[in-house]
Amino acid sequence: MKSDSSIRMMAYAAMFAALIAAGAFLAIPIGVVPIVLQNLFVFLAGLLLGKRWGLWSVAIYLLTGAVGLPVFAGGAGGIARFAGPTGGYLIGYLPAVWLIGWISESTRKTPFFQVAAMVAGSVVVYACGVSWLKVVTHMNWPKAMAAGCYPFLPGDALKIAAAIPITKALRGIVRK
Amino acid sequence: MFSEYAPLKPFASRMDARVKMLCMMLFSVAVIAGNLPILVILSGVCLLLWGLIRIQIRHVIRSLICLGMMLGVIFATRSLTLSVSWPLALSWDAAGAVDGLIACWRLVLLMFFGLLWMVVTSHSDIRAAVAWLCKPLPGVPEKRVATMMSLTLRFLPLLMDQAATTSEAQQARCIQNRKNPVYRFTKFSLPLLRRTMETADHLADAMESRCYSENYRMKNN
Repeated sequence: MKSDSSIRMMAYAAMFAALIAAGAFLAIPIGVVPIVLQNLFVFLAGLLLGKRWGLWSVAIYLLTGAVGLPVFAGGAGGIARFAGPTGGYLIGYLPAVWLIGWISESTRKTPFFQVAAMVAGSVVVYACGVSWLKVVTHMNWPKAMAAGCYPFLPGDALKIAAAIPITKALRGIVRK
Repeated sequence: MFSEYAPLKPFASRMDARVKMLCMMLFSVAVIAGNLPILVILSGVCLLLWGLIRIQIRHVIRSLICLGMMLGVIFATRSLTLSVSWPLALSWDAAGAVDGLIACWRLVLLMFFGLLWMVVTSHSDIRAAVAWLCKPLPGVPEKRVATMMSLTLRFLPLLMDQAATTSEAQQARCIQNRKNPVYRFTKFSLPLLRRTMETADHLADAMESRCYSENYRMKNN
């Protein structure tokens, strides 16, 4: 029997939406600062599902939060979170996952291109997030970068490094 | 915290999910945009609703522990200032502390309203309400969106359980003695993702074998 790939991809995208939501609560304690896994799951959604279904997974996650369900960081939800200081990061996940998926689909599946895709995605997330943070909090650029970007870069580098072996191991499991 | 639907009080459970969803959206806007008196009023409304629905506090303790860590970070970043010139020094800012307290208050209120909405609304009602919300949007397949959101809500408690199991298994293997953070990330995420993808596969097979179609009737349609 021919398998309906759209149902399977829909299930995967829903699962990644749940992973992104759960990622806000799942933390690996490294040193004194626990590093949450949300970004990692956004990267993996783009790399494993591609641009279309990766975008679906992030869109479903954002919609779930927008209607008020407690899936955003700290157990908060509601449409007004998009207008808050972290709203730019949330919106930034959409172009980021699309970009990661697009780079991943249109290049060879080598670690170099995967790292490039995730770095590009991170740049998009921080561009949206820090710009919005600056607008909402009326900070200047250096302060906005210090509050909303620099402290998270080492964690992001670790997540990108971890995403490579995870993608390699899971690519065979995802049946597109 | 994600699977605690409990139809404890008929009035709350029977209310149309669309009304509850719109109320929740309005509440969230009021919580974020409101000033101090509005926050006081909303806190009163929240306490009243929690009292009326009589949810046992043990249902929210775990959520509060997760939230507590985040609130601590938010409060610290708002109330402490790090001087950028040498020597580096931390200083306490009273206005920032008040600002931090209000930010934490808003977050707690959002969490409580969100939990309340989840506790008194079944997943099928949430799905139907989302389909209704998305219907006027051009180019949005509302039934697919609603089904995916419903699946996401089903996956969430499962994922949290699997994450806890994976974490316990890793601790039993003394993962805390490993200093390499990439190794720890990988050893935690890989089994978790592998298991959840298998679950998603089984779910897709089950949907396919039951001839799943987006053209089915939902509540409110």
